[in-house]
Amino acid sequence: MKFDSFAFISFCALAVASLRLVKPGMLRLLLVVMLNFVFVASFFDSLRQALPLAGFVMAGYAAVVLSSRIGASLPLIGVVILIFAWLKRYDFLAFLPPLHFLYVVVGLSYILFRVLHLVIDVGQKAIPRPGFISYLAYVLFFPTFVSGPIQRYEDFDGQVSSPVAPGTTHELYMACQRIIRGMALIGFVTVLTHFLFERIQLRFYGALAASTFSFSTFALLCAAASLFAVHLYLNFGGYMDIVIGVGRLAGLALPENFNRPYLSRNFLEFWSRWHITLSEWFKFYLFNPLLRLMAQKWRAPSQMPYLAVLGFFVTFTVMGIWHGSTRIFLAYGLILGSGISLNKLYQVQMTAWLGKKGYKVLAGRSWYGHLCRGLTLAYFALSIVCLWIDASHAQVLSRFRGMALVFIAFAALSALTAVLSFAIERLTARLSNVPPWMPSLSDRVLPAWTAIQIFLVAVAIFSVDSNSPEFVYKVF
Amino acid sequence: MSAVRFFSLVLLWLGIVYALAIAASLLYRPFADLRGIDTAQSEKSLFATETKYLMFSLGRLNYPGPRVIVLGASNAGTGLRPAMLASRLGMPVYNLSVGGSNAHEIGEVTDLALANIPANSWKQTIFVDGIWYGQFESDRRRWPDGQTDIDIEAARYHLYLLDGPAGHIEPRLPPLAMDLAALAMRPFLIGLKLYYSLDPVITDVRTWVLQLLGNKVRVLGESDTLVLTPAERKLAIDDLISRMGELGQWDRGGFDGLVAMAHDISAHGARLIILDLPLPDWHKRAIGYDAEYQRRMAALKMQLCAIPNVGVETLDGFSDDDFFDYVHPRPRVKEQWAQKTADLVAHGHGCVR
Repeated sequence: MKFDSFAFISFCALAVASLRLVKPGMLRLLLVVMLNFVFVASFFDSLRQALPLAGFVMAGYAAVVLSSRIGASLPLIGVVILIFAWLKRYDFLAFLPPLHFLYVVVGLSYILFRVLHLVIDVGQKAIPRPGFISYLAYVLFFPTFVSGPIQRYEDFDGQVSSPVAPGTTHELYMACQRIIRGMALIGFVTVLTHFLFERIQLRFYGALAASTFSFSTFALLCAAASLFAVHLYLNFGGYMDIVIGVGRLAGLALPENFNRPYLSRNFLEFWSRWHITLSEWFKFYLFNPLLRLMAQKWRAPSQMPYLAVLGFFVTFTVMGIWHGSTRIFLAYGLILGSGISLNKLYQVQMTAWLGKKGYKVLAGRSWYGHLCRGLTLAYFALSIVCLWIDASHAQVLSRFRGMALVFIAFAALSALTAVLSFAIERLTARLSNVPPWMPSLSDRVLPAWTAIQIFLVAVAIFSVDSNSPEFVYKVF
Repeated sequence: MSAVRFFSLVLLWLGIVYALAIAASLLYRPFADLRGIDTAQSEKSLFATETKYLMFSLGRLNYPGPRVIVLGASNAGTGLRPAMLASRLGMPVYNLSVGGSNAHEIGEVTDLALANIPANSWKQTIFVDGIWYGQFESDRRRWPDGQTDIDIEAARYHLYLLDGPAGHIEPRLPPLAMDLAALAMRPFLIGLKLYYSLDPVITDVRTWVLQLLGNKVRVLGESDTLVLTPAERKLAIDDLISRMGELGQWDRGGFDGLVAMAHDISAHGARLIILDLPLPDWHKRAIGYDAEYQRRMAALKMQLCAIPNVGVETLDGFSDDDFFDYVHPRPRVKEQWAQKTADLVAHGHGCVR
C-alpha cells in the first residue's frame, strides 16, 4: 500500500474507526493483529514471498521466549542478527546458501529492532514477556511496520491496553493536520523534489562518466547532495506525519522521529534530532553497553571521553552498515562513524583547551553557531550520497580527484549553508513581529477548514503529472 | 465535539467543497470536452495531455454505427484530421493518436477502443494506423520504466485494469460511466491544466532569455512558411538517433506488435488499414532508418495482407516543402492528406489478394 493511495486512506479510516470502537482487551489485540496482517499482506504478491518474513517473526518470538528463561545472552542476540543479515543478503554472508525464490523483506529491519528490544529487555526482566498475540500486535504494528518509529513495547502495550480517549476537537484537528501535511509532502512536494533530484543525478552521472571534474561536476554534486538531503527529510518526515497522525486518531501516541534537524549545530545534536527513535535504539542497545564494557576494562575516568569517541565510532559505523548489504553502506557507516567521533573528539579537545566555560562562550557565539550548522548539514548531505549513488559512480568518486571534488564540495556547501542559516535567522527575527496570517480558529470552524485542506491537498496530488516516489526508507 | 461528529462534519464539508469545485470547474469549457475524440485538441481541453484526454474520452465510442478511428503518433494526429476525413468518408472519424507512442502503446489504444465500441459495431469500424519508423522504437528504449504513458494514466485514476481478464488493458467502468468519472475528476484537473497552461509561457520566457544571451533559438510549431535550418535538421536527426539507437539494436518487438494488433482487430471483425506515412526526402537521406524500416515492412507485408480485413497502404506524393519539420505536414497539405487517405480507405489496393 502506498501511503498516498486511496487504498491506504480507506484502510486507515477503517482501522481507526474499529480501534476506537473496540474496548481494550484480547478482542482489541486480535483486531490489531488482523489489521497488521491485512496491511502487511498488501506488500506481497504471494504467500511464498512472505514466508521468510513470517519465519523471522516466529524465530524472533522463540528468541524472546528463550531469553525470558535463560536471559539475554549474546549468542541468542547474535543468532537473531545472523538470520536477519542472511535474509537481507549482506555481502559478508555471501558464503551462506541463499533462498532460491523471490521474497520481500519490507519492514524486516524495523522488526529486528523491536525483536532485539524485546529479547534484551525481557531477558533483563526490565519488561514482562509479551504473549504471542501481543507480540504479533507489536512487532507488525501496521502504522510503524515499514519504517518505524521504533516504539518501546511497554509504551505500545500501555496504550493498546487503555481505552481510547475521546479527544478534544482540537486534538482531532491536530491529528488530521499531521496526516494532511504528510500527504501533501509525500504526494506533492517530494514528487517535485524527486523529479528535480533525478534530473540532477543523471547529469552528475554523465559528468562523472566523462571524468570531467569541472565546475559543473562540482556544482552538480553540491546540488544533488543537498536536494537529496531535503528530499529524504521531506519524504521521511511526511511518512512520519501520516503514521503519527493515524496513530493519534487511533488513540496511540507514537514517538516523534524528527525534531527540526536542520537547526543542529553539531553532528551529535543532529542525530538526536534526526531519526530519533533509531538513534535512541542504538544508544540503548549498542552505545551504552559498549561504553559500560569499555569503562569496566579501562577504569581511568580521564579516559572516558575518549572511550565515548570510540563508542560513537563503532555505533554509527554499525548504524550505517544497517542501511544496506553492500560495501557502499560499509563506507557510509565509516563516514558516519568518523564524522561523529571526530565531532566528539573536537568537543573534548576544545573543552580541554578553552575550559568548559570558554568553550561554552565560543559555542554561544552566533557566527560560530552558523558555521557549525553549515559544517554539520553539509557533512550529512555528502555522507548520504552513499544512499543514492550507484557502485560504478561511487568508484569514480572514491579516486583521488573524486575525493578532492567531495572535499571542495564539503567546504562550499558548509559555507553556503552557514550563510543561508544566518540569513534565515535574520529573516525569522524580522518576521516574528508580523502578526500571524491566519487567526486562531474556533472549534466550530475546524471541520470545515480540515475539509478544505483535504480537498486542496487532493488537488495538489492530482496536479503533479507523475506518481509519488517510493518511500526512501522502505528499502532499508 | 465527539470524534463521530467531527468526522461527519468533515465529510459533509468535503462534499460541499467538492460539489462547489465541480460547479466552478464547469465554468471552463463545460461541454467542449464531451464531443467526439481528437487527441490533437487535448491541449485545449481540461485534460491537458493526450493520454489523460484519451483515457477519459473513450466512453464516447459507445454507440452503434460505422466509424473510422485514426491511430498512430503525432504525425498521424497532425496530418489525418477527423473533420476533413469525416466529410470525405461520410462517417464519424476519431483521432486516437498519441504523440511519441510506439507500436506497444498504439496496441493499448486499440484494445481500449475495441473495449468501448459495442460488439455489434465492430464490423462497421475501420482503424487507420498511420505508421513510420519511429513507432518501432523498442519498448526497452521508449519505456525504460516498463510503463507506457497509457499505463501510468490507467494506474493513476484507477479507471482501467492494466492486466484485465483478457490479458490486456481494460476499462473498469462501463463506457457510460466514463463521462461521469471525467466530471468527477474535473476539480482535480484544474491544477494540472494551470501547470500546462504555463508551459508555453515558460518556453517563451526561456527562448527570450536564451535569445537575449545571444543564442539563436526559435520555437518550432505548425507553420506553412517555416523552413528548418541545416542546424535544426541536424538537431532533429541527432535526436532521432539517440531515440532509436543503432540499426542493429532494433528488435522485432514493434513489428511483432503490429502483426498482433492486426490479428486482434481482424478477430473482432473490424477493418485495419496500415498507412505508411510520408517523410521529407532530406530526412530519409540523412539517416538509414527509413530504408531499414521499409525493408522490414516489405518483408512483413505478405504476412499482414494474409490477415482478413487488413490492408497495407502508402500515403505518398509529397515533397520536402510539404513538411514544416522532420515528420509533420504543413497545415496547407492536410486537405491533400485527408483526400488521399479517404481514397485509400475507400478503394485501397495495397494488398492484392
